[in-house]
Amino acid sequence: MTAVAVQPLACFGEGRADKLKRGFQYERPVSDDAELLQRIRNGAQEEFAELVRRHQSHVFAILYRYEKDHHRLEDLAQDTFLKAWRSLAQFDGRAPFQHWLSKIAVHAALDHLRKQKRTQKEIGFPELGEDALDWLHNDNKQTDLDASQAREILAGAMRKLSPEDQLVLTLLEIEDRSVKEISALTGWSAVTVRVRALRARGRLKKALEGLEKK
Amino acid sequence: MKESKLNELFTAAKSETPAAPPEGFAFLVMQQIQRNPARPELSASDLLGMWFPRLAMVAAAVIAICVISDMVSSSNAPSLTESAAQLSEPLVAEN
Repeated sequence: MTAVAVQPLACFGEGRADKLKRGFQYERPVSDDAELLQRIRNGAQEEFAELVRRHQSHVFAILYRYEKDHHRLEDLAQDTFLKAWRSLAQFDGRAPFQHWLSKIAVHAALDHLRKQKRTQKEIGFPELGEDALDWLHNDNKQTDLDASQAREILAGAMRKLSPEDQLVLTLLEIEDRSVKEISALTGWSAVTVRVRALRARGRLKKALEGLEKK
Repeated sequence: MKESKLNELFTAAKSETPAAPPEGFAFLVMQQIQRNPARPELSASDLLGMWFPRLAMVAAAVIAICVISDMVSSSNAPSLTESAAQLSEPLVAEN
């Protein structure tokens, strides 16, 4: 995090003031997001880079659930920040900047899933690795499943679902977000989120059964 | 497929480590922004979208005020039936 040196303050007391006189520099974060945003609004466009640096990991963490290819993921993240830049005038500061950015990222992910669905020619099941197939066919708990295998299986089954179903399941079951949070992120009502999640879970189960039979 | 197996799948997927942003990602974003430096002004539909809830509230308030004032003013005045009866009385008397 970037930091700046500040002038000694009387309220620090003598010990602290002495330290400051001796050249000790007290450091504090440059500013919070609201301050940075104000500066951007006042014309300091280059400050947006600092906002990007602060929130890039968060945006990548959201988008990674929907796109595994690193180049496409990077494009998606860039697109998210560009959208945020273009809509900065609409950010009213009532919610933290990160919440607002998450909303943009989630909508970018949904658009991406919709585009994928449109361009997806055949909706067949993908080839699964041996370990993933083993886990699918074994009903006992002896077969352990690691994250990459789970990702492989889920990616295969999720292809059968609508973009909205994929989104709601990812947010609710994998990211562990609450219905209220999902509702805020997507703009859907809480009832819609609950119903959609329930139905999506059922459809995912069917898709997984399809994978099992394959 | 059993519920427990589905839950196991979700639990395993949760532990996946997300990809880290590449070095210089912020720089790439800033390059993109510099190619289109101007933040586009709000379009007419954006403005409508921003103003519509307020306009709707104002319109609802105006309608409510009109309805209330009409009810208040008509409570002191004679009712429509009475007025009609008054008007028709001379006609009935003539016949």
